[in-house]
Amino acid sequence: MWSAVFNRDEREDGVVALLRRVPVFNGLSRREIAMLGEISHCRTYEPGEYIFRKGQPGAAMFVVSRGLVRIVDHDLDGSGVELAQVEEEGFFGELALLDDAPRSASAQAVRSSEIHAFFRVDLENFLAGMPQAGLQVYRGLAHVIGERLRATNVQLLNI
Amino acid sequence: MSSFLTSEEERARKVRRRVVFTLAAATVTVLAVFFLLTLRRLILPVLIGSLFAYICRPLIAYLRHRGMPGSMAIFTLFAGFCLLLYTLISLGARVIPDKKGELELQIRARYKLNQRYEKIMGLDHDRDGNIIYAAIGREVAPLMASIDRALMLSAADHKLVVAMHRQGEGAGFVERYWQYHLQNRKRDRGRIVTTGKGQSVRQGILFLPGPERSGILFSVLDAVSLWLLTPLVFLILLFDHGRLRKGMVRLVPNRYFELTLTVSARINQALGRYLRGTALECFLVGTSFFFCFVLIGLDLKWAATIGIVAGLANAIPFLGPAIGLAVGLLYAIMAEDVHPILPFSAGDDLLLAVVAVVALVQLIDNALFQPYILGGAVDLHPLAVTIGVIGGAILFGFGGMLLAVPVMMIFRVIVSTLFEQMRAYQII
Repeated sequence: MWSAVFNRDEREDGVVALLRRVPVFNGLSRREIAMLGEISHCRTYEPGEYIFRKGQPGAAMFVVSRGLVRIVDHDLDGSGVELAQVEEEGFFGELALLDDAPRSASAQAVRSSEIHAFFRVDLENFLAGMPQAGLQVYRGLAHVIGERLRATNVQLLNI
Repeated sequence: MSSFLTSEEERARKVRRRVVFTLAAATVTVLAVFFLLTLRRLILPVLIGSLFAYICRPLIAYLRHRGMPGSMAIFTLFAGFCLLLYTLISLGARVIPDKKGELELQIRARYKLNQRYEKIMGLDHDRDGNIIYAAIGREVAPLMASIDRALMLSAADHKLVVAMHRQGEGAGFVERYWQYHLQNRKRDRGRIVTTGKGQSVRQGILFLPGPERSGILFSVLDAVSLWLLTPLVFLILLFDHGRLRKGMVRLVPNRYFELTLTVSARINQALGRYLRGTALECFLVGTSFFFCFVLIGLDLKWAATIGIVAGLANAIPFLGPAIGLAVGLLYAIMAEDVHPILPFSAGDDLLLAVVAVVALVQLIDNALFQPYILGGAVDLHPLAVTIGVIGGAILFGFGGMLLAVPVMMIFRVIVSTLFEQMRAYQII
């Protein structure tokens, strides 16, 4: 029992290293990142497997630890249009951290992928106890969403 | 890896996977039911430890967020619990009488109970009974006889009482209780004369066989060793830092991952609201009982004890107030030398005062505490609660009654949220 209590899990150290490289969590201390790692869920996806589909309620944000994920939207004829690709250390589904509105696109694993998921309620509870860290995370999130919105505007103008 | 497989092989793999998962789920279910039935006695200590850990989790999170290392936060909390437990045990030890006190209590309870019964039924001073006796005497008499029998001293205890009385007043038996004991003995002899038709003298005297001390000792040790699990489960779950939950979520297929998290969050929210609300409500009810009992003349030690019992029992729907009333009345029956702060609750009026206190506290609880503290936390039909509490009692005794409502609430949240979310995730 005591070894389980005091020993550090190597996998947890890996999560901490990964999260330190994610821009949204940039302003957090090592201790805060370690605590954040405790609430992440590690999932593995086969190539072609959907992480979530468009229209489903959004409940979690995902950080790619290993592999490749594509964000796709479907046309009226059912064919998929690739909107973006998310590589290692990249994240997607971040809008689910703001509300439980339906997903605006689908996410599909291109290669065998390991992904860390952050459930909205867990993250809210975690950040509620650390207002300073919460401020950093939501500021980082707003920055990324703003950048992606600008990129979308440019794409729209180019159409 | 699956990219090396043909579509046919991939299909076969999916079928194999489904078979393996189904077999694993069936095996786990069968084993869970088997262990649940065979290790039924462990369920309550484990559940109580888990509930305490669950209640303390926000506190640990708060301390960790304030910069305290996790292990230190847990040990601080555990030390606090040990201190609280020690205080409660000290209080309990003062309330639980020694052998002499136990005998005094037994003699006094029997004497007072019979005295009050005869007075209420109009059987005192050689009267034949009043209108109450005529109405319900026949039904109540067997119940009273069995209570009276339960309070009778064993032959060994009688010898002990005689020996203590011989020792003298200072170290021995209080004279008043000796007189009560003589009255009780006279009652036993009276019973031989009035009801002794065909009964042997041994039955008439009604000396009960002494309790099997070793049996009691063994059962107490047995219970204590089982309850040692509670702090162990409490500590393990606190040190777990959510790994158990994560491990369980890991078993869920990817398709149901977000759905599972959403359902578990709803359960967590409902259970947390219920437990926090109930804990606060029980505390307020217990405190109200304590102050009201002090006002009607109970001494502080007994007012606190009955307040704690009535407050804890209040967590059991319907039966809780009855337990509070029963404990209060039991004390009121035996109470002597009551000095009430309020003028109307002396002597015989104490029984009525206890009933009034229980009614008043229940009124406050129903009108004030429950609507404002619990709110809509327990949105269950009263019939479902009644059946659930009785079912819990049949299956798991007192613990079953206590845990019936939270278990039913979890079940209700699972069913309602699961269907709603399965539709939202386009699973059904």
